[in-house]
Amino acid sequence: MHYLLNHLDTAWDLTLIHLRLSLIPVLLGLLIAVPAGALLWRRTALRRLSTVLAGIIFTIPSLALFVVLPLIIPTRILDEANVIVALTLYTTALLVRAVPEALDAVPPPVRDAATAVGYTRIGQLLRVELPLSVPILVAGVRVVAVTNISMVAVGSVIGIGGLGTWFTEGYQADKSDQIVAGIMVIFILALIVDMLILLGGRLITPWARAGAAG
Amino acid sequence: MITFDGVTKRYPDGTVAVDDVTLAIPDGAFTVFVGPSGCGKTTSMRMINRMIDPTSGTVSVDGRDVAGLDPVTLRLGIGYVIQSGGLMPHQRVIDNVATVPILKGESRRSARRAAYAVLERVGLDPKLADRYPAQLSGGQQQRVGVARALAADPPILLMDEPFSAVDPVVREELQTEMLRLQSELRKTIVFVTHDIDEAVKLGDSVAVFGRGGTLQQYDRPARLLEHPANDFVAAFIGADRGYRALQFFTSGGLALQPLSTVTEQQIDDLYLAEQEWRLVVRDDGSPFGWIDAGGVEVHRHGGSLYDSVAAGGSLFSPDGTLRAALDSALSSPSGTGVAVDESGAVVGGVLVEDVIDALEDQRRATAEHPAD
Amino acid sequence: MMRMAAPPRRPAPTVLAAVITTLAATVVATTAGCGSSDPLGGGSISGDLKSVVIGSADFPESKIVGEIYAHALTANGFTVGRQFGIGSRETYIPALRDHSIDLIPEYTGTLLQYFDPASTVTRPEQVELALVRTLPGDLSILTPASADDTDTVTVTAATAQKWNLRSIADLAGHSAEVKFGAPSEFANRAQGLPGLKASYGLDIKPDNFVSISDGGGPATVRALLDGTVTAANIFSTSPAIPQNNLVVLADPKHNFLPGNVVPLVNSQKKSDPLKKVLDAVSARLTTRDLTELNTAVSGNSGVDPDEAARDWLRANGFDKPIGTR
Repeated sequence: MHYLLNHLDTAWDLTLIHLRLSLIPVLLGLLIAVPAGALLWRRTALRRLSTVLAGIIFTIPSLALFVVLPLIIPTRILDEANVIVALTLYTTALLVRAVPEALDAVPPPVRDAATAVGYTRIGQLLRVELPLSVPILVAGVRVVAVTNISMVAVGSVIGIGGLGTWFTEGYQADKSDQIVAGIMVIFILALIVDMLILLGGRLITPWARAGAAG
Repeated sequence: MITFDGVTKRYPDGTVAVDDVTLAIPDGAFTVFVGPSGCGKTTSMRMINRMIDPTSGTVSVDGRDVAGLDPVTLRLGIGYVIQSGGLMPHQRVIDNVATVPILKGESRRSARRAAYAVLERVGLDPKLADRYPAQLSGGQQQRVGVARALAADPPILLMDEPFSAVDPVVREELQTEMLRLQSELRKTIVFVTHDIDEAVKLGDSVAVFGRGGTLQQYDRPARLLEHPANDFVAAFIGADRGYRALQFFTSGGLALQPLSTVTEQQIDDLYLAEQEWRLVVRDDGSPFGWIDAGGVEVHRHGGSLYDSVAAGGSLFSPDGTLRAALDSALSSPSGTGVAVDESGAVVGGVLVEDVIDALEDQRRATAEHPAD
Repeated sequence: MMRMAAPPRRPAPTVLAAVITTLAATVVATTAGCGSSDPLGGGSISGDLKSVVIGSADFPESKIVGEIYAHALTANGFTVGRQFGIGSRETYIPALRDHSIDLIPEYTGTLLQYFDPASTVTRPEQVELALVRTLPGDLSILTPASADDTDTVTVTAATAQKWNLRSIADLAGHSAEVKFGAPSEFANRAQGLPGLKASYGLDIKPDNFVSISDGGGPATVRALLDGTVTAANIFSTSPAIPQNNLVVLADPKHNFLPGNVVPLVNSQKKSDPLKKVLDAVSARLTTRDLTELNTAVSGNSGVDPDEAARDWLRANGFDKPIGTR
């Protein structure tokens, strides 16, 4: 606790970095995975293929990605953008599976009724199926966001690990206080982010809050 | 006019859901498809709005083969109600009802206005408009489903077992509402149910579907009950079809017996023989129950009215059906059915023999002057 | 006839609006501190020569020296950005070359080996010369300090006493029993096991090599103290050596290359003012300083690298611009 209290401004700076590095990939991942997932949703063969691809992306070690990405995209090796792109690959891989699963949870009678009253394919997707998939999707996003918060610590191998740098520094300098402080702050951060996403999800699904009557 | 011409639906694994069905559904009629589960009634109905396409044969609406029509445009012009309501859970009631007008391009404001009007029409409190479907009871949700189907005033209404999932009391209310609506709107309605009583009560015509998706009989309900086409139909209608057929005979020609009644104050002065009953009425003339000699004793010794009186049987209206009259007589502890007028006041009584006599009279009249 | 009820006011924001608001808020909140880690943006090709981004590796000594450079430069009018904790050469050398960082503290011997693995020179002056020749054109070194941090073969006091050890040669006789702890690449490096065998006849069997990947850090020290290994490669300025009474075995044949601390800089940023400041610093930095600095930051009671660096600078007069001492 002493370490944290003595280093509050560093903690704040590192927390902001950590939030940037963990949350922006989640947003970008969603932006890519929602349309991609919707496209894949009822095409079984493609969906299976994407699951395999996603699994492969996961096996790429992050350090390798950090070093190789600058060769493919115009980032420099220590740019935050580098880490963000790498983590976006991971979050997209996770979310591209979560999106069709969330769509699967839309009750079939509702989908049937929507088609029967005269929604077009796209209209139904945008105005019925995607909105109704949000509660399950939010659950998936919570998992991805919290996972990402610990993945960011991986970036400390190149000095861009946000709060994860407290782990490596504390380990090297034999400062257990620093390590514990790092763990605590990351844990609290994950709790807060998780809760914010949960509340955000509730905010955009007023019908789920309304509850059943009589 | 909706026509089925040799329509068959065969699935890749060989199952035949609909087998060579041919029938014509006239405009403005309430047509019921009825049959046991898996006999093709729902599949057939869903071919009208192209939720399913036939493997062979033609389904036509107003002379046009639906296979040649754009499904979305077709469906926007056909109202559709399903068993569980199929309401969009994430939209308020008013937006659910306004769905089709909005899909057709109306402004949100004008669509909502139309939606409010329809809500009233199906008997829903406008205060429910801002609720979400989950906040409504099953019966209310079904009404919303019907309202949604009616909002854009389509000429055709398809209803797939819409009242099966609610309790019998609510179901009867909804059926009565449906009949009232139809008398106002005169839409072409195709209604699917597995309940023969519902079919016979609601339909102008009833199509009975049998195993393998075949059409067994397509007839007016009264004829269906009196002349089932084959053993399957007869068995499906069930053992008491004769009794059910009585609903198609009016009690207009039924002679009512005068019925002497007593009020509570007069009970203690009664002297009744064994097996003799007297009807106790309230101050407004509505029947309370039947009292016999034993009940009079109980009352004399200070028993309450409730304890002294036996619960009465069902009541019937002199303008109602013979079925109601017969049931009234059969269910009465005294053997006399009680007829009441619109205000609920007792107007007379009827014995079982009277009902049978009236039935014979009407049958004779029909035989001599067959109407069709 | 009942009057139609007036439609109520528009209900709560649509789903879409709520989603967009949430997204926007998140992006704004997290970019609030944007750029705090790198205010200079890593410099463009021909950037301002008075602004420098300093990197460091991820062990404390590198950070301390990095801070020393940083504060000294700041006191002399430079604008300094920091990008510390970069794990390995494979990452920070490319970072130097693509201008993500401009300057990093390095060690002469191992740096030479990185660029010329076949090099055979062993004396500090030779190493410096070879480096100047071998480095690619876009990288340059400034003047090395006398401060020297090299690989070692280190044992516990007890082991040294038991076998009467003073130099590595003395250990050779016990080769069969020696378990050796070091990073995995030590087993194949020229100065690693092969070199020890060639120079001193110290022959560690493959089964007796224990790979510990923290570069002579806490895990290696622990392994040495609890007897998991008999000897270990611990860097010579480690605070663990004085703290645990460890004994560094002498290397008279210069198996291990010298490791003089030297600033490695992107050639485009190598200006005269920069050289002046850093050469002055290097002139004052001794090996003993390194050990004391490492001790100062180690453990929970230790200070931050930043504070240790500033203490050293103040003690050596670098907190004021050079020329005003």
